[in-house]
Amino acid sequence: MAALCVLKSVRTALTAVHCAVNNTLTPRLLNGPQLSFFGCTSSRGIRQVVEKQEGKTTVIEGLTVTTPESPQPPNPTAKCPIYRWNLQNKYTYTDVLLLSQFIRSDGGMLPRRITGLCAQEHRKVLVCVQMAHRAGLLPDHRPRLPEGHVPKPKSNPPLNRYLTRYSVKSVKPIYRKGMKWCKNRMPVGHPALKDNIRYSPKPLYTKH
Amino acid sequence: MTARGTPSRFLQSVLQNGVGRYVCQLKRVSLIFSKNGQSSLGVREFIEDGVVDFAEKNPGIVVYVSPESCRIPKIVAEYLNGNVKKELVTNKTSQQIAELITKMANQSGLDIIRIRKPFHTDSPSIQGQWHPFTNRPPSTKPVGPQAK
Amino acid sequence: MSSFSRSAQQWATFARSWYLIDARMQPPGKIAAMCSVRLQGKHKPIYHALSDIGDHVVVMNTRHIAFSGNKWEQKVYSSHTGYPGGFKQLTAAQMHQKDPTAIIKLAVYGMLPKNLKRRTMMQRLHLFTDDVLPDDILRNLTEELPQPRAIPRKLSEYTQAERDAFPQLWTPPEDYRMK
Repeated sequence: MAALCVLKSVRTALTAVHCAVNNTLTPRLLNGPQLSFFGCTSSRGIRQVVEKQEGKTTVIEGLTVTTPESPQPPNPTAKCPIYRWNLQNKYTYTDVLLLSQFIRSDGGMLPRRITGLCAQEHRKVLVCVQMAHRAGLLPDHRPRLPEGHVPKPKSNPPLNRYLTRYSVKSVKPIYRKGMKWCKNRMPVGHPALKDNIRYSPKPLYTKH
Repeated sequence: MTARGTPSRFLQSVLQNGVGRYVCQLKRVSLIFSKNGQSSLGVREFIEDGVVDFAEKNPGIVVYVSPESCRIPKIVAEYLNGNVKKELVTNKTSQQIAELITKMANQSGLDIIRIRKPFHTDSPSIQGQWHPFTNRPPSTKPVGPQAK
Repeated sequence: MSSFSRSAQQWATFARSWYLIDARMQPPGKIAAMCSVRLQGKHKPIYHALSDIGDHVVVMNTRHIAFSGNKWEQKVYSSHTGYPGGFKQLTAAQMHQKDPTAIIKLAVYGMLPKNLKRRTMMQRLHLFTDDVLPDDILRNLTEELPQPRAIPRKLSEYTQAERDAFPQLWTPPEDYRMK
């Protein structure tokens, strides 16, 4: 226990862990299990591991992305961040600044145990993120292409769409629309977002 | 009495497909009078007094003055849409002829027939008639994709 | 003098104006609803069904319209050539690829009243796939209509200052490694 404490204190002394090691040394160092808690500083923030290669030297750097001081949320006791900021039913697919906080750099959702979203809100954020991706509002959050892969130039420009519920490839054309009393409708939006606050007098119409 | 059988049209303008710009529809006007007839006295006076002023004021109208030996002096007006209107000016004074020729210059040349939906008011709007630019915010900016 | 006469005022009342609509990222149905009102002249206080007072509408950027939902795949345009076996069905995406103005044209055509004036009104609708308009049309334009749908901004279009001003909703745990 004491040894662990000492280790911890050493780590806190080195706030930004900086280890410049030779290429030959790297595998031995990386094998060590203690490298998994790479820096346990008191300041809160996201850790990032940055690898730089300069000639024969590889620099592995543990960086702390400091989060700026944010204003006090209106409901600080709640667990879910959406409830903490009283944002229930107040966000949709266009609020990319909010949605981008809950996604990885490749566009997928962050796990719920990390973000602390409750199950319902996690699902709503997921739906919004999907629709934002399909509307092309998150252009930089794409899965990374394999090395050296050049995407094929497309003959047609991508079709603009919004409020897209299903993935593009899964949908089939409605060749038979049906009689007028039992028409085969085209859903728009997602039923999970039907309680969202709207300021128009018209009722929500999702079956086009 | 009944208006069923008479020709009729809706209120319209001569700009069939155009943008709203005023073009004088009177193309050509000719004053036909006798040099020494009694009934052409007013026309002769008008030619002495006012016809040059009228022609200067309306540079788009060709004015012909043609003395002929006739009993009945006339004003023949030709419009851009092809209509020709004749007005008899027997025994009219120079003042009356000047009013008549100004009225013809202002007309559109459309047939004067019964108008369907002949809305009428005794108290016309002091704002003037509606036209496409009423209540539109004034903008001097050019419209189009290049404006952005 | 004569230009202030009553007749000139009346001609101004009946003058046709030319409207411009930018269809970039707009739903074609809403564009078509705006167009059909203007083409019929229903936005004028002097409207009457029998008097021909519709305006001209120029729609640009029809290539960049946006459909909501999955309509690019689900919506189907059907037609029949008149010959046996001539029933054609195209999805909206195929239709758009074939003719980028067809979707707006069909939507407006369906929204106009079904009478003899319909073809005349369609002739007053000018569709352009991009934002390059010929000069003789540019000269006539009098007003640009506001777009019915507000175009949402992409994440890359926000400035860094705006992103910093947005509060951090949650703080990541200490040992979480961001991917």
